[in-house]
Amino acid sequence: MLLSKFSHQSRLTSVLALALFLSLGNPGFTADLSEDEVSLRFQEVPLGTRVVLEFTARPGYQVQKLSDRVVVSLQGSYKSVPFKSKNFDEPIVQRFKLDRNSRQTELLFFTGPQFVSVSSFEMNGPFRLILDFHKRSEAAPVLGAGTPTPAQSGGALETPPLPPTRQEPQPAPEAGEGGIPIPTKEPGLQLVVVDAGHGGVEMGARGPSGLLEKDVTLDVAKRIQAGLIKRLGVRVILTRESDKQVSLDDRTALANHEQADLFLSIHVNASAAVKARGAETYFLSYQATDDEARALAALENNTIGVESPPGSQALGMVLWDLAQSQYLAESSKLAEAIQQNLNQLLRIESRGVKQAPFKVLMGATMPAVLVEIGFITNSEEEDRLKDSSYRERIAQAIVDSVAAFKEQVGKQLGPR
Amino acid sequence: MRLSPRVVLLAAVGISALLIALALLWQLDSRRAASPPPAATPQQASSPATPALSRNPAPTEEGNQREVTLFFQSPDSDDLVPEVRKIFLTETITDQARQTVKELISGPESRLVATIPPGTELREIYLTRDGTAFVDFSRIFVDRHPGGSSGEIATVFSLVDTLSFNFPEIRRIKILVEGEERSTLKEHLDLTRAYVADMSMVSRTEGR
Repeated sequence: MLLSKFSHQSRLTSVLALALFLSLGNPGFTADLSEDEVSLRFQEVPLGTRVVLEFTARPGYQVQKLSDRVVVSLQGSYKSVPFKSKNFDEPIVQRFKLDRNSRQTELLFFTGPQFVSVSSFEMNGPFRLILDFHKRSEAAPVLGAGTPTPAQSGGALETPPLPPTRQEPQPAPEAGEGGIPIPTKEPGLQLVVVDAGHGGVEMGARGPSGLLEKDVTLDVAKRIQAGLIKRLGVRVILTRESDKQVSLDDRTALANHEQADLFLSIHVNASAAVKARGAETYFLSYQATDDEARALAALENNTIGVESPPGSQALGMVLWDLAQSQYLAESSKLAEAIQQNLNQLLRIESRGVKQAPFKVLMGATMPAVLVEIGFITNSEEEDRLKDSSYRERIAQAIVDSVAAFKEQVGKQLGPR
Repeated sequence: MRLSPRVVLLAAVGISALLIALALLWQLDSRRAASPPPAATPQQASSPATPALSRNPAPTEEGNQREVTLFFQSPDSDDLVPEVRKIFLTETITDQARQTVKELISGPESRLVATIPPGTELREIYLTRDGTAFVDFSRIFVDRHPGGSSGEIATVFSLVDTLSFNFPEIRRIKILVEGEERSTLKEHLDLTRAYVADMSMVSRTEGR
């Protein structure tokens, strides 16, 4: 409420000021600005790089992510200020360049090795398009006091830092529960919760010939369980062992209660586009909730014209205020490992790691991913998913990925 | 009554400033109805609108219609692809949004893929003063939804991007089903939150 009032007011004053300026300096009553301008601001934020594009009026635009760049296409001819191209030599956004003709303008942001994904949102008063370039696996900012720093990075970008609770070697919870008020656990990968998606009346997706997602997920989850026990000797708990309904909250609560080290949610994908095929691995996205968006908006409004935004730290606090937030770096690492193995197995390169605000991942206090092992709505993939040896290969690919992830976690804790 | 040249000049500057301010306001907010009254009675979406009100015409659009851009799913990728429709330039943004969502439900005219299950009814759209649109669908929205992460993402962002793109006054969208909040659509995306547009899913290769 406050915000909308504020932005409305500031817009009105700026419009009036502009009108006065024009009427004094320009006798020709040309309300139409001959050349449109977009002003650029780059900010480092905890999640990566934020680019704010400010316009005098809302443009027709589209944002597209290509393999080596993010392209913002604007309808009409724009010039950019303060520069029309620039080399940053930064690992997230490397270079900016503007291309235009009389009808269209393209803002090209060439991305670097640390870049993972881009998200955008709009703000009004004046109109701004905000692009967030998310960075790859890095130390996630941790809320509250005693924020740990990625101490033993030793130049190894590959190694994700672990949350502080994991860093004190202690007896397993079962061993001495009687005398220890706060359960502590051994470091490393000890316990994995495997979540078989859907179940009971929640049947999930259905294939054209009638195969049900909930049956496939249960079978694959059991195969992953067997594989993890055999290969890694870890404990594995399933969120359901039969065809029954389990609420999403209960699934995560189980993993939290058991202090699991990993949460793997197994699903089968569906789409109205029946040709869609291949596997996808998701971890939780950063898209701001309503309140967060408001806080962001307030911050954005405050930072107009300011060189270094004083509120950038608070921004991080707001954005990361989710149980899963501390574990996103590790979740992303695990998701990449799984996706790589599944792409290899399915020989499909076009699909990758994605992020979305999935309910089942939100409350998890450990690295958590959701794997869509294939499209049940694609009749070819449905047929393959009926084949138990195919399901076994999928499960093994996921077990291999967890093994690779475990190795990384072990290395991280080794020196302690 | 005599006026000094100075007063005349001042008045001229003042009036021109006002005129230009109005013109610019039109340009900036060409499609904005200045804060629609909260208790606006919903109009029949299908009935041709009365000629557009004076404070709400879009200079680029003719007659009592305007163009809106709908985002459907690409048959070949996860992209959302634009398709243009005409709706009636009715009095309230809420009503224009209603027409737009109904067009989205009707599905694409080209080879694109519909993102909302056919047969879904739009029960109502409410727009709050802070720019949140509550979009209330009938039960079929859930019952006939294919599910899956990709399916849910396509549905939610086709709706969210469509409304945000066409109506600057809609800043975030919250989905309701049969008048009530739902935890998820089919156990994937969190529907307790309001969503803001994510234009990174929109392809620039087709349409328009």
